[in-house]
Amino acid sequence: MGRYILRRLLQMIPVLIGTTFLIYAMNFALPGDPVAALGGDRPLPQEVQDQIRERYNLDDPLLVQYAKYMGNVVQGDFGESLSVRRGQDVTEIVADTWPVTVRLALVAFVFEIVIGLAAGVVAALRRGSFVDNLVRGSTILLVSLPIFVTALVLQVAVGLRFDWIPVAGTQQGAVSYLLPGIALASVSLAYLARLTRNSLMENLRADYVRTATAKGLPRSRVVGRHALRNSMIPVVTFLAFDLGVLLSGTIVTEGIFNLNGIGGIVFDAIRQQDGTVVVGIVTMFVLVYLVANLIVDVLYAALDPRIRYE
Amino acid sequence: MSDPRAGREVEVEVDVDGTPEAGQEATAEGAGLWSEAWRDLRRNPLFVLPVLVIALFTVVAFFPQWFTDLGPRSCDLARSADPPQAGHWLGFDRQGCDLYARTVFSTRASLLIALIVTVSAFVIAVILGSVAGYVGRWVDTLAARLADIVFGIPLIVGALVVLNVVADRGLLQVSGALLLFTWPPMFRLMRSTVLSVRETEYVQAARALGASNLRIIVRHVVPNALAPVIAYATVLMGVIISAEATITFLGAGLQLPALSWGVLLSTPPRTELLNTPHLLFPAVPVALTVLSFVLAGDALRDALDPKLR
Repeated sequence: MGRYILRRLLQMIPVLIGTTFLIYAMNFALPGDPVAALGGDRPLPQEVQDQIRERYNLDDPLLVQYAKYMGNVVQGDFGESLSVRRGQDVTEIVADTWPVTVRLALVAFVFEIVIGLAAGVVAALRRGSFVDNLVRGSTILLVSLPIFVTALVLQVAVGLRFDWIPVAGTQQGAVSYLLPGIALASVSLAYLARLTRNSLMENLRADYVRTATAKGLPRSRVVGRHALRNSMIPVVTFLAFDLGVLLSGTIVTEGIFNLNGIGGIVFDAIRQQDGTVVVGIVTMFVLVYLVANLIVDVLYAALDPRIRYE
Repeated sequence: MSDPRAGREVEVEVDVDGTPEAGQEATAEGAGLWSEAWRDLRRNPLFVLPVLVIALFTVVAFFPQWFTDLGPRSCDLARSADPPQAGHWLGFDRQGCDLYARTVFSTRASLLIALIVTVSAFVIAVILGSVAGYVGRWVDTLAARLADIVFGIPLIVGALVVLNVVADRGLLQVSGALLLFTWPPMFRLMRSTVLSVRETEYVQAARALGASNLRIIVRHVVPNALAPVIAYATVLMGVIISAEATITFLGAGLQLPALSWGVLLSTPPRTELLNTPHLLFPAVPVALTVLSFVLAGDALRDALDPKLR
């Protein structure tokens, strides 16, 4: 097991290098001059521009810039912001903003798992019933609405009608995360419910479930211990993949609900071509995604006794 | 969404597919799978209805003038953000333009972007996937690693990064940015299907008869590996319509005076949207088309997958 994890960690390195280079190149090699843009209508003096370029290695060829950047990253230095929060380290910015994003993502994740799993299981157990059709209908509707539309509709239809539900900011504590959490979770929740339903339905037809029923186990145990546990494999895979989707969804949700988190910063940084911030944070997104997938692969062994890593 | 009634006959079909004789007539056997699927789909309301909706929107995209007497730019500032009323069932946007007319004229760009991205991703996935899956070795390693790298970048983030540095963002630029980040899942699907088709008896038979690699790929592997990719492509149309609306809403997609559903949704300021909810209407065609493509794609996948029967 230890060797398997080590091998997977090593395989992550080329993917990470590729991803960072891709994002880095897009930010720096494409037209547009972030340094000239800093001054706005009144251009900065040439000396100041030169000094900034020197400080951020902007005069080097792309590959050299990238190599210098990665050299620093390996030592834990993700560089400093060029415009969004000028002079602040990317790590500092992330340290400032991550609590909001993590809370938002957690709220969304809880909604997704609780509602999505419950809806999926109930639908699968009562196949063809009213509840099943309701779940199928409502989930397909949620899937077809972009997150930003769901968020706006929630703001208008719910937030403005009930005074105690805030529609922006985080001043009111935990309840501030209610609407953004639901909006962020909406699409993933629907996919999860559909996946759980299909996976459980397939397993309920399996031979081992018939055996378990035949040997006289109570229904709850047949479903809970036998069918459900085996249905969780695609579900867990989806959850790991979904972590990346949720993280990028925070860009939209945090923008609409005015939350001061990582998503909002990424969005500002992209607009202002703040390359170091974009590269740094997107790299972290990708890293989270890769690690989540690794954890899932390790979890497989716990869920499915047929899978063993030497 | 699988139809349990019509299941059994096709298993026989699949067995026939497996025999070497059937392998030599790849197209005939493909027709078997497809005509079976078509017989199922024709009777499936969850396929027929979405297809009708898609057909309707296609007509709207080609001939928007058939659906409204007003032009998309017939605007009267005095009626800025007026609510729905007789003759203008959806009301007016902030510039006093008829919202219904603008929504109708926005159909073309939204559907066109989805079509460009999906068709290009399909071509890339089929060519790259079949070559990587069939040839293997370093070609496969290279393509799979490239897909891994791109796959780790979320679609919206990647498209935002690319589009943000493009000055003139038209149909092609937006489509290109979305394409960059949508091909990997499709490529992986094609590659894995090709990997399983490569081991079938009819491919071995073709190889034993001395067919060239190119001929085997074109005549035997690709036709037999296309079905899942086509189903996925249908769903992808919906995903792209939604993604275009999202990145345009975030301010990095199409720009006025171009019209798309995303543009209509992005132009009203947020505060105004809260007071004039009718401006959210362009979300309805977005939801309808995405819904239709997802449903049609699901039905296609179920009808084309012999394992689900």
